[in-house]
Amino acid sequence: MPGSPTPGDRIRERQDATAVTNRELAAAADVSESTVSQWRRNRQQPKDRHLRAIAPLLGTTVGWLRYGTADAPTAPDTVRERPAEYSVPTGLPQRARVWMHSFLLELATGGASEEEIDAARRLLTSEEAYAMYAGGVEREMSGEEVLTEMQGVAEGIRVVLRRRGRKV
Amino acid sequence: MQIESIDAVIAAKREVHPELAHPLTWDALRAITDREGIVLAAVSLTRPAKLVAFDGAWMILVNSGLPPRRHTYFAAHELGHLWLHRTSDAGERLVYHMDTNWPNDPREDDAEFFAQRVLGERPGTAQTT
Repeated sequence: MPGSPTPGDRIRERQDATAVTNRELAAAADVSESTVSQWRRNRQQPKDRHLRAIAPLLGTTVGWLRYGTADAPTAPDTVRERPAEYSVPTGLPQRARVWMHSFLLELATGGASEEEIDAARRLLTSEEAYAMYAGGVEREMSGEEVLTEMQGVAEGIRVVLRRRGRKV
Repeated sequence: MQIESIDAVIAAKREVHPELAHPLTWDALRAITDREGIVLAAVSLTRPAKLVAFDGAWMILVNSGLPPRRHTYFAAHELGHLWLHRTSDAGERLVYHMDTNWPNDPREDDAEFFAQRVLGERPGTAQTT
């Protein structure tokens, strides 16, 4: 895929391909949506730390977003053809949703099958995964707790998939 | 479950896993889980441990932030759930948690007794908090 002229153009291109929203990019990079909008319109340049945070969500690398030449996106067609495969339920805290989106992309680019990706999504969004008790009464987990649990389970998923030869 | 039933499960598993003839260590537990195709990993969690089914595989996850000497106990508790409460393939339930605030549940008692047995501890002496 030929590179677009600017990082902002390439961010827009990858957003079109992956259906990642400005809000999700803003949450991942810890900036405002207005800042993301400025990047997209080439009014501001994202810093490397911002690109590092958003590149996994966009299924690409910092190098490609910055320069458009090295490390082209890994699986753009897959994502473009089946954006629904990587959708994340809206009931989760935003940070957890953004993180999970990048994790599912990681699985896809690592060669996981559709069934494995679907199983990961079902597991990570299972209500059973986020039941917690205090004094014998079920309580809602905080967003930070949900993210911690999700990332812990994801580590286990990576181990299972590596045993199956996936590159995650 | 009756104590005798739990002991019978352990005795049957000892035929396959000779490590169970001795108080369980982390390395011995690793050998058992490898033999059974169970993933055993220390990861970040908000609770001591959990047993998770993923796409036909089982994972025992223990909280890496807790003292390593307790990892074997927490993992053995989850192995107890798997062997005592899930004897077939990964089925209707995806996740079992070890939650120190869990309401009374006899399956938690079973898993506690199982862990104490395989670690060679006297029932009622283990610390899970």
